[in-house]
Amino acid sequence: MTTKQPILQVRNLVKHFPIRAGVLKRIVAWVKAVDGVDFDIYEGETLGLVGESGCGKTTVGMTILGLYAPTDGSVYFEGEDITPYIIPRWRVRKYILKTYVKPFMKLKKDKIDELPNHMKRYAEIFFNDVKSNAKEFIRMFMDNRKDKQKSIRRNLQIVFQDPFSSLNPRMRVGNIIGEALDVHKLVKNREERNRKVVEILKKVGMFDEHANRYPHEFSGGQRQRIGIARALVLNPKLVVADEAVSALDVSIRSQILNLMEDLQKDFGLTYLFISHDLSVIKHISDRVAVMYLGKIVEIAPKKNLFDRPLHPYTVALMSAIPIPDPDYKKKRIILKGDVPSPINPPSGCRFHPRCPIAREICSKEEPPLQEHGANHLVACHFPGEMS
Amino acid sequence: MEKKKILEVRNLKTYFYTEDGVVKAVDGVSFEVYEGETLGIVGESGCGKSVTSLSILRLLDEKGRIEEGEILFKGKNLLDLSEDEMREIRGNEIAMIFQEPMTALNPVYTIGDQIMEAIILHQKVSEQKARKIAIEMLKKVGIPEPEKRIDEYPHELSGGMRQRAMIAMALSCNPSILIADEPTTALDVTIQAQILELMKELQREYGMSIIMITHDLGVIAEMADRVLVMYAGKVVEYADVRDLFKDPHHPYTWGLMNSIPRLDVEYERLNAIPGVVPDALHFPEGCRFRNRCEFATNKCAEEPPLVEVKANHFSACWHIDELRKTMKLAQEGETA
Repeated sequence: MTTKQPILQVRNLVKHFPIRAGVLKRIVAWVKAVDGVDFDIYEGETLGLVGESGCGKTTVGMTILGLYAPTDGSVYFEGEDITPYIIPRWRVRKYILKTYVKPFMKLKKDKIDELPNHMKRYAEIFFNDVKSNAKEFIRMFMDNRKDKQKSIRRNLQIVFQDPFSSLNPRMRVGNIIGEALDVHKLVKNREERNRKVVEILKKVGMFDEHANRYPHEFSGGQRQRIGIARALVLNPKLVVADEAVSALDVSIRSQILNLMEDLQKDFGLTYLFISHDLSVIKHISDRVAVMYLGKIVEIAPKKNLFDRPLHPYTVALMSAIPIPDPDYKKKRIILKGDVPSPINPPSGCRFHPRCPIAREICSKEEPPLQEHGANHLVACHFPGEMS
Repeated sequence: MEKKKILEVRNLKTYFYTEDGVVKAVDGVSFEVYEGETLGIVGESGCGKSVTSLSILRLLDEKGRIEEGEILFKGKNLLDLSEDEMREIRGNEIAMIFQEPMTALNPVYTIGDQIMEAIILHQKVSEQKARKIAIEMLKKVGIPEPEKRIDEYPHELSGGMRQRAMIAMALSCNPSILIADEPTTALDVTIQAQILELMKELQREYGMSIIMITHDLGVIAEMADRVLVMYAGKVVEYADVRDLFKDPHHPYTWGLMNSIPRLDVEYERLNAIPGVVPDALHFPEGCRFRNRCEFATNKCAEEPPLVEVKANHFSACWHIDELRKTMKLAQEGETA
C-alpha cells in the first residue's frame, strides 16, 4: 500500500455557505458545512466517507468535483493543483498568491526539499521555470482554463443518491449516457457513439435496447445502473459515489454494490464512497474517514478502524447500528442530544457536548487530526479511552 | 403462559383500483398480535407492509378498497364499524406513528395543540387538564423543557425531537396498539438508537403492543418478538424472531439476510438476490417470488400455502427441503 500514489489530495478544505436575510439579502451568518478537512485517496482504492446527515460529507464530494467552489483550501488531482479551475476566475490570483507566492517568497531556495510533495512541484516551477516572476506564475494557472476544467470533469465523475431525480426524464437513456461523449468530443460520429453507449450499458448489466427507453421505464436499481453507466462512459479515474445505494431496497442494494466492485476492477477505478451506512461502508471501503460537523474525526484503514475505533464518536456510531441477529447482545452507547447546528458549532472539540468522556480541555482546545498508530489518524484529546 | 390475542387479521385483501389496472397491494394476509408484544412486519418497498397497517386503521384513500377479510380488534371486526365508531378507535385504542414526522405533523399548529386535540377528543377533559397531560407526555418521551417546547411549531424541532413529539401524541391516550411505520428510517443512526430505546422503555411502562413496520432487518432483530415477512402483497414467512434469524424457511428471507452487509461479519462478496421486485400490476401467477428464486420449479406456478413448518413457524414455499439442504451446506462451508 505504501508504494501507491495518492490520486487525490485534499488540504484544509473549507466550504461555508452564506445565509442571507432581510430585504437587502445581506449575509447574516455562515453555515460551516466543511471546516478544514485533509485527506488523501490512493490510486485504485475505495475511501469510505461516513457521517450523519449535515456532517458535510456530501459537500466534500461536491467540492472536490468543482460543483461547489471551495471557500478555502486546495484539491490536488494526480499531483496537480486543480483548485484554480474549480474556483471562480476572479479568485484565482488571490488564491495563488496566498497558497504559493507568499510562502515561496519567504522560503530559502535550498529549503525546497523540506516542503510537502504537492508543494514542492510548484516551488520548483516557481523558482526554476518562471524565475520567481509572480505574474508569470499566476498566468500559468489562468491559461487553458476551459480545457483544464474539461479534463477535470472527465476524470472526476459522480454517481448520485436518488436515481429518480438525477436522470433527465425527457431524455432517452442513450442520450443521457451519450451526451457526455459529445461534450468531450470523444466520438467522431453517431455510430461510434451508439457503440460506446451500448458497450457501457452491457458493462453495467443492461441490454442494448434499453438505450432507446426513457428513465421512467426502469426500476430504481436499473436507474442507478444507468447513473453509473453515465459516470463511467468517459473513462474517469475517480468516481464519487454519493449515497449511491441508500435509496435502493436491500435485495437490489447488494446487486449494485457487487456491480461497483466489479467495475472498479475492470476499469481500475478509485472510489470516494460517501454514505451514512456504516455496514455498507465497511463492506466496500479499503480505508474509512468518519466525519462529524464539518471535520474528519478519524481516518484509518478499514480493519484498524473497525477493530479498534479510537474516537468516541466512531465508537458510538458503530454501537448504534442495529445488528440483524436477535442474539447479538452488546452494550449500546446512546448519545445524548442532537447534532449541533453547523452555523454555530461548539467550541473546542465539536463533539464535546455529546461526548461521554469529555473533560475540561475538550471544550477549550480543538484536537488536531494526529497519527495514533500506523496510518490511523484521530482528532481527540483522549483517543481510545472509550471502547 | 397463554397470552391474550388483541388483534387478529384474517385473510386481508386490499386492492387499489388505478387507471392502469387493479393493484393487489395486500393479497390474503393473516396474522395475530398479542398483548404487550412487538410484531415486526418486514419487506421491501411495495410489498404491502404499509398498506396492511393503513387497512387496520381504515385510512385508505378513495382508490383503495378492502375486498375481503376480517380485522378483529378485541373481538370486534373493525371492518363492520361505522366511520364514527372507527374514530373512537383511531388514536385512542390504536395509534400510529409515521416515517416522516415533518409531513405527519401539521406545520401551522404548535405541537401542544396537536397533542391536546387528541386528548380532548378522546378523554373528554378540559383544556388545562389536557395541557397538563401533554406536558407530562412530552417529558416522558424525553423532550427537554416540555413547558416551553409545547408551544413550539414542528419546524422548530429537530427530526429526532419531532419523532418524540409524534410518539407523545400517539401514546397520550394510552392505546393498546401502537403501529409504527418506519419510525426511524428518516433519522440518523445515533438518533435512531435513542428512539428505539425510548419505544422499548415506553412499552415496558405502558404495556401496549407494537406493530413495527420496517425494511431494516437490524431494527427487526432488535425490537420484534415475532416477525411477518412480506413479499409482493403476500406473507412468505411468519415466525418468532430468534427462529426466523437462526433458521429461516423461505428462500426470500434467506436471500434477504445474506444480501445485507453486516458490521460483525466479513464478506468477500455479497450474495445478491437476482432480478427486481415484480411490478404490482403484474405479479407472477403462483409463488410471486419464483422468477427470482434459485429453487423455483414448475411446481411454483401453483401458489404455495402458508403452512406450519415447525412449531409457531410458518412459511409459504414448495421447496423447503431443498432450501434446508442448501442452507446446511452453506453453513458447513462457513465453518470449514
